[in-house]
Amino acid sequence: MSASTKDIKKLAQAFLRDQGYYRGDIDGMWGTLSNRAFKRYSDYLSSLDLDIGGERPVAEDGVADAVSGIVVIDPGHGGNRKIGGSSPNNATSASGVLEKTMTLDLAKRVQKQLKALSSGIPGSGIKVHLTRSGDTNLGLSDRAQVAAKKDADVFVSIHFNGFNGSVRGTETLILSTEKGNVNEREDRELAQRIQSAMLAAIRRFDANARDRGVKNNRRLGVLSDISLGNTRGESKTRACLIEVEFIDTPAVDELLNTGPNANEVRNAVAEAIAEAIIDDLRANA
Amino acid sequence: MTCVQMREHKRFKAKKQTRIRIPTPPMTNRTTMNLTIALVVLLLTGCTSVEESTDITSAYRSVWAELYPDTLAGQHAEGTLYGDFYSAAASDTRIVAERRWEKFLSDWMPGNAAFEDASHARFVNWAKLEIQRLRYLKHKNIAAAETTSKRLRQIAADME
Repeated sequence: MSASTKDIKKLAQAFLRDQGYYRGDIDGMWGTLSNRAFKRYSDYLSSLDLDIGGERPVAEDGVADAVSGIVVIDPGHGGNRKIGGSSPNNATSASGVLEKTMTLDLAKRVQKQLKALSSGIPGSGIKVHLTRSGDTNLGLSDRAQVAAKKDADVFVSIHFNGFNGSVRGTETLILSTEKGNVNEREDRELAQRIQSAMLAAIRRFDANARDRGVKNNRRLGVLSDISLGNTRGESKTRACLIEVEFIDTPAVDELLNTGPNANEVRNAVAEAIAEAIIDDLRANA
Repeated sequence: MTCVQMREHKRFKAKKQTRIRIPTPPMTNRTTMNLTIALVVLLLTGCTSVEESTDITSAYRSVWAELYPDTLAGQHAEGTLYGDFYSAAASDTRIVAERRWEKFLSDWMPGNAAFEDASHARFVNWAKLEIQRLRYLKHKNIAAAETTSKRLRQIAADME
């Protein structure tokens, strides 16, 4: 059965709403609100100079452009008690693997990949810090303050989702401007790069991967600009929070933890995140 | 009729009345079982229209429990986001549900606290709507309770 024009308009409205551009009803009625949202999204897309999935910029001598910067990776949760708004753990995989274990594992892989990619490009120097390297917990603002103390260019908080044990999807969150995000546009660019890269990596192993897009959230403590040290005058740190997949869904658990390719999938996701961060550093050099 | 005859007559009458009295049959196991079944049926019939009842002690089923009953059987410890949410969602009377949802929100969203991740935000927002629905029911605003249920179902549909 083919979709009607109204259905397509509904899909477009739902997509624009997910992206934070549309606030009207999902009714398939394309009025002023929809037009305005579409225009704002088109303007945003044309303002980007994304290089997602394309070839890495290469200098005339055939070597990729040098890239440098400071990156802070934040493995979500940790430890055994709640501290400063951060729970020791939230989601648990279908087979019982804790989210805090998976975030730390992925963070270490991203760190390793960033160092490897950086060392492969002459003249590059990317410094990578983790907010935690063991099973410990830090408060939400303390995590962001690591980025401020290290003078980070990029801050990425890693999380895994959970819901009802059956839904799928990859999503990336940024702090919305309503909550005082002073560099929402730069955050969104970083988030979009990582979201697209992660999704492509997961899709290589599982066609059922679902794009939940980049979303605004008004109250994400770990992305607070005050804690990150961003001000209107100086907003250096670009930040986002990634939700890799819904680990309480058995298919995802198999993909990332228990399946025969789990190690390969986790490496591919880590490499994708690292490449997206490098692209972002290069774009903002 | 002599006194003796009168006494005899009264005794005979009393005996006759005793004879015609129908004794209550003792409750057999089968009768008890039938009564229990009838009671369960009555209770179940009452449960199917939770929306129509506004009694705080009446049976309750959260929208989450209606949609995702399997999740409630999961092993999540008390004091964790999932454990506390599922405990509130599994409440079977309104008075228990109200207490648990309120505790969930005070523990997981005190004042203007921040969200730590997407599932935290989702569960807190869901809990706010569940308790809103409960309060509408408590104040006999059935239409508003239904609207809140629909909103939760829409959120669930959007997640799929």
